[in-house]
Amino acid sequence: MAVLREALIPLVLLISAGTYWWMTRALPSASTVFPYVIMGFMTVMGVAIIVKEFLTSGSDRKDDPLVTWRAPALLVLSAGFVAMFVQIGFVPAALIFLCTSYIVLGTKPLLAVIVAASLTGAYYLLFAVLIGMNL
Amino acid sequence: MLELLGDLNFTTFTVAVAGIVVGMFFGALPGFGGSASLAIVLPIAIVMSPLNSMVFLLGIYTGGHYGGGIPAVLIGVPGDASAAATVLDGFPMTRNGQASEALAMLAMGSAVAGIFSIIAFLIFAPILARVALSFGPPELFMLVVLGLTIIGSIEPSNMFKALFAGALGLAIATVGVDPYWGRPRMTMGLPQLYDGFPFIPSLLGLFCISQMLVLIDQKGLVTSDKSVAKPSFARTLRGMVDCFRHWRALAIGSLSGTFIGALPGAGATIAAFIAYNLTKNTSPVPETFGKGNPDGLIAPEAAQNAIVGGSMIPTFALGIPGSGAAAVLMGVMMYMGLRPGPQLFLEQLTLIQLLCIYLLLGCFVMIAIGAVAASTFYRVTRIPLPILVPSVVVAASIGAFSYRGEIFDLGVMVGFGLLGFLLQKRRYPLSAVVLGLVLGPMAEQYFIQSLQMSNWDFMIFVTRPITMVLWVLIIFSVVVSVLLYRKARRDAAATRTAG
Repeated sequence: MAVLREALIPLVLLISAGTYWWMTRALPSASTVFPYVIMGFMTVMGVAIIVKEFLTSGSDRKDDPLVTWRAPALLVLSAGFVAMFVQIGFVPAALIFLCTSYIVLGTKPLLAVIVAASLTGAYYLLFAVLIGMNL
Repeated sequence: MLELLGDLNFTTFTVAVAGIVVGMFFGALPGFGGSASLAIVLPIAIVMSPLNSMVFLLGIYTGGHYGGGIPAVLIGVPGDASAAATVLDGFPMTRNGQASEALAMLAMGSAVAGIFSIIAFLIFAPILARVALSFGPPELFMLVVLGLTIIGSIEPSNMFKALFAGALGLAIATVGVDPYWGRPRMTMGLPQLYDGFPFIPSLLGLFCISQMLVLIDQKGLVTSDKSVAKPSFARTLRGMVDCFRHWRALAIGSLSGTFIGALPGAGATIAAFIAYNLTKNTSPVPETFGKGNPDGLIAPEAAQNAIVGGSMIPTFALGIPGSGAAAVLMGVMMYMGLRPGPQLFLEQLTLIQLLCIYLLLGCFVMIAIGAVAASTFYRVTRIPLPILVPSVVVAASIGAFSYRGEIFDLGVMVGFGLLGFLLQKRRYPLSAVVLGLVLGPMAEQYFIQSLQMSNWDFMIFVTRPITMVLWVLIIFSVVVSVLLYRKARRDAAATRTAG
């Protein structure tokens, strides 16, 4: 199982590299010589990582770092923020994202609303009003 | 030059201080460092006098490099790509309860290197400009390769993963139209990818979002309360004085930053990583790097700031910008009727000398700001993570969006954030990915240009005198990396036996 977990990232990225090769195989060699050299090297290193993991005994393995629900939750909320940014604009999207994230991550609701509103206002004032960004 | 002291005026000095403060502010915001901050203040700069305008812009450039190191040290998020090297030992110092000292060394290292590079500019500009001119595409390609050899020594105990991560960065950088025929590669029909993955959003995703995802898994604060020593003015001053005890790292950073800055197109990132690598490989205790060794903080930070004076050399002496920010500065100079090039030193010598004096004063101001504000900056680490993390995500999103105003870039940032998070969890060094990402386009461009020059004869990379010197340095770097790798394995085996 540990070997599989370790092999997952090299395998997925090597499949992506294979897709790159497949999609660019018709291009002239001058366009592809550099990326192919890099991907060849990447393949060798990917195989080396997997082989090394096979040869590593159980006691030598480092424990897997802890992943709690918080990181996936923040990732989903961030993706939601990007989607809302497109649909409803920066100010409401940032306000909803900050408020929700603070509360989900354990901040008291009243404090969450106050900090989210203040920060959204501060960001808007700084970037849209002072710097002139089109938020 | 002493007679020029009478020409100094308070208004221009205030402009220099304002430039440094603005630069520090933008540098500390993820995605707003370097040429982006200069572009934002252009409307203000062009209404000033030529001297004030250049002092203001160079102040922002200098302050920006220092500012980029502040979040790198405090929360492990580099303000720009070059500060990625600062994270390697700066953030562990904060985690070891030495944030005060780290910030002090950041300010002092930046300022000393800045002063060194400005003096070097004044004395050596014409000579260094001639040396820099002898670097053609083959030499620049070999310099990039030298930069890439650093990857092996970033994490010697995990060399395969470091090399894999570096190659991944290079591979990601090859997405987009190729530099030879202009054919799209792996763009999946998306016009937004024709120029490759947008750099700033990718960097923000890899470093900032992924770091936030890692931090949110731990409750409370960035540093645990127990390990934190209370910051004070006295501790900050002590940290600044301590910086000089690390004179070797300071010298390596200042020299490599000044020289690499003088090479058009090489940039602060490569300088920072080369300085880090040189310092680590020549240190008697290389195994302490990455765990909070002050040398690992001072060398890259000094290199980044020495870039300012270094990049002024080709910009002023030859009319070739040494970096993106120098290109913006050159544009402003030309807008104001100043012609960068050898003639500038004859026609505008007083202006250049005054500019240097103000920049030197600005470096001292940076030390003062660093001393006074360190404890204020430090308070960032006292903000509870459930408040800090989402707030940083929104700031990073604005940074990613500001790059070209595309919502697509926000998606890239989140996607790279997930990739960075997964890589961190499986112990792949993200700094290697960023190094590959930064150096990839340069490497391919110089590689293709060199081969075009030589009619596709690969011997061009070994037959020119400077490339031969660079080969020696590359071999040295690789050999030392391998030795470090073996030492790390021996140490790990000894630890297991003792356990």
